Amino acid sequence: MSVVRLSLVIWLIVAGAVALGLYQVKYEVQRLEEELQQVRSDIRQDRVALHVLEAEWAYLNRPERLQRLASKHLDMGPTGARQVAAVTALPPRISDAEPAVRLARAGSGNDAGMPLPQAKPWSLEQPMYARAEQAQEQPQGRQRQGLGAPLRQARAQVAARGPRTSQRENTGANENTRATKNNTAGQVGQSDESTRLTAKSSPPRSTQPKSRAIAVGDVLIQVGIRQ
Amino acid sequence: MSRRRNAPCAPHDGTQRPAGPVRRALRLDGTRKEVLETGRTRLLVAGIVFAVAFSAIGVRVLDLAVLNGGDTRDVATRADGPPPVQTRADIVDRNGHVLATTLPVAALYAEPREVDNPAQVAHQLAPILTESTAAELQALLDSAKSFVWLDRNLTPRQQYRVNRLGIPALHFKQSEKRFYPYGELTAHAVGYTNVDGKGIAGIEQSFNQLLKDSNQPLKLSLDVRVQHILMEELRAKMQEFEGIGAAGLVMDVRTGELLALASLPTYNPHEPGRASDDARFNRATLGIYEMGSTFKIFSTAAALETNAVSLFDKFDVSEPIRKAGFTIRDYKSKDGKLTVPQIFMHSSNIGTVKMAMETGTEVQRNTLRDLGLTRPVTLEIPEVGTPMVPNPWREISTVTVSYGHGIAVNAVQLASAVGATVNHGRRHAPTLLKRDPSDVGPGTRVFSAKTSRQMRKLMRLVVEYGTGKNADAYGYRVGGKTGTADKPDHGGYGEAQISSFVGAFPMDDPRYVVFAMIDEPKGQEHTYGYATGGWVAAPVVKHVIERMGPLLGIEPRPVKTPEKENHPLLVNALSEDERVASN
Repeated sequence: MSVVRLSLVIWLIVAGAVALGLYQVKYEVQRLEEELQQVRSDIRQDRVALHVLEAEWAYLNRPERLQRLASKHLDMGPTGARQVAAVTALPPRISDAEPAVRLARAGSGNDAGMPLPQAKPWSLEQPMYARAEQAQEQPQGRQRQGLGAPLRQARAQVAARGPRTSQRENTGANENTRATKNNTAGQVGQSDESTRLTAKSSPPRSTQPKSRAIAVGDVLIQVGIRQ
Repeated sequence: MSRRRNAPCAPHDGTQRPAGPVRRALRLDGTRKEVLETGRTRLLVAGIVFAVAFSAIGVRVLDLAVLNGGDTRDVATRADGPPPVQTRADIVDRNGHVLATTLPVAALYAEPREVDNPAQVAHQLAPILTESTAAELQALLDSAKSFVWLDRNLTPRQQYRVNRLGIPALHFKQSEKRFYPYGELTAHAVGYTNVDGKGIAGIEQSFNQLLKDSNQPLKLSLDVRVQHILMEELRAKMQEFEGIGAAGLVMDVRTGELLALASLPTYNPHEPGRASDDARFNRATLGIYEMGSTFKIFSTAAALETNAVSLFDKFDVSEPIRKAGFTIRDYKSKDGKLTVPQIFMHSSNIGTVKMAMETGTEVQRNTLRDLGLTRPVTLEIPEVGTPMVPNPWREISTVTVSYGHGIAVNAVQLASAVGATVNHGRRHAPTLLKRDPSDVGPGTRVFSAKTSRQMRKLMRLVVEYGTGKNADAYGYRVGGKTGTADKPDHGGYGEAQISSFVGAFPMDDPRYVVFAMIDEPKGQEHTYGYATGGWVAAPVVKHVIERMGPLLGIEPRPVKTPEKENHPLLVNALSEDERVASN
């Protein structure tokens, strides 16, 4: 009897479980079907909405409208041919890596010293030349904030670590003669910090004619400022 | 079951209950036994039936689950829903900006009898339906009809707002409408459809079937930015010189693609019915015009190509030419002799005619034919004008055709022919559809590379020192040719003019041809009364190039124009005496 009852109970449980499972699956399927219908209809609606929005986007992007809005709200104009320059059209540039490399070597006392990375002489708001001049005029004044600042500090520290050697004096002198040869030297890539370091052993630079230049890039398109 | 059945049964004895498990047998006799037997048999039958049924289901389940039911029906392929309702395909520009699309719109109608308070409903609807005023709406709602249309085209936003009013007497009917986001900007090229959605002009007409059947947008060669620039500059000059119309185009000489195709005045493609015939007339393709001096490009190129004339040959232009009752004079009479570059630069009719006479009628005719100027241009829109060519092509025709009279072509033909001349002599058929760069063939050779090079130099000369100075866009080495033609007027030529300029840039390896034409410009005070191509159309080309050059990434390279006396093409032009004297 006990065997009979056990099997009966098992079968009843199985049957109950199957019934429950079937019930669950059936309603799950039904729910999923409804969801699918809903999703399909949503997709259809979204597609239509997307289509309408695309048309609206095109309508709002009419060149005539953009031009009107740009001239009303922006300080910019279309790029002109005069604002596009090629690298070859730029004035010759003195190698800016050299002095810093030498400084780095002098500081570490290592001939195979590492060249330090340089701040890229590029600026949107102000050409590099002008910035270098400004920094020279007020050396202790406001420190420029920017990507180059930490680098400059690091470089100054490296330079200050070792005692002043004749090598560095030479570096400064070299640089200075180059600077007088070409009025753009020493300002293009040379940081103002290292310029100041060497400036102590060289005549003041106020005699240099001030130079201005357009920014540097491969082929750089500057943002056009409406005149 | 069997165990129970075989178990021996004993009569139940209520009084004697054994202490342990005792096997008892139960024997049944008579009717009782029969009933039980019957019941057992029925149970058995039912059990078999159920067993068969369940095994059938089991087999089927196995079949479906394991053996795939023998029939592989993939039910999940359309999980992303059925394809959207087939509508007319979009037309897009070369960068994918939508030029024409079909939008679902709702048409709003009302049942006036169900409206309780027409005045209030009209008042509520008026700010939403911008097309009509509250008074008009009220009149409609007050009518005794059972059905009135209030607005045929509601945007989705308008529909939403109307819905939000919650007025039960208002109903919507869903329909579709062709919409042109850029409106009149590309109206002439794209065209328009009628109320049934059938294309009846432009690309809409010629690709009607394709647009109906396809789901893929049709990509045109147009660039809306360039189109806008061209339209704006043409419109400005047309107004400045009080012209009656204008046309222009920008063509990629390496592929034949038209980046812009403009005709002014233009129209709103949503309401073509309201536009005048003049506005719907496509001056750039359907209009054929005697182009005037721009044809000297082809006359000179033909002369140089056949070696009938060399670059430094001199022609006497002091005497007017009289032929068959015509007298040909120059705008500015030059004394003495001119070399070919000078003739071209100053646009001397007499010099060009003399060159054409050297070249001959046959060569001229064949050259113009090879350039595609004698037959209608193959363009993808139905509005294409058939050129008017002299028939028969007599000697006098050769004379007039050499400077662009007696032959009328449309702007696309002219630009395409100029494109062939500057593009190393290879012609690409003009097209309004975007061409895959790999699809572009080598083109048909019309001129040799040498002739093309010479012609580019001559065209640059025109802009540097000649009649086209006003087209010299900084940095883009523009070359071109001005054209000022008298419009035919009652069998003769009247005062009205067509002033045009066709230019190409950058001249060392041209990418684009830009053509501008103003119909009947009037001379202005600040141009000293002139309304010639150099004054009217050349500045348009200049401005268009200045604006589109940076946009399309053409590198500007400022070139220094040498003093006229030092230009290699003009040095030899000075007479021996002059050179000796200057030394």
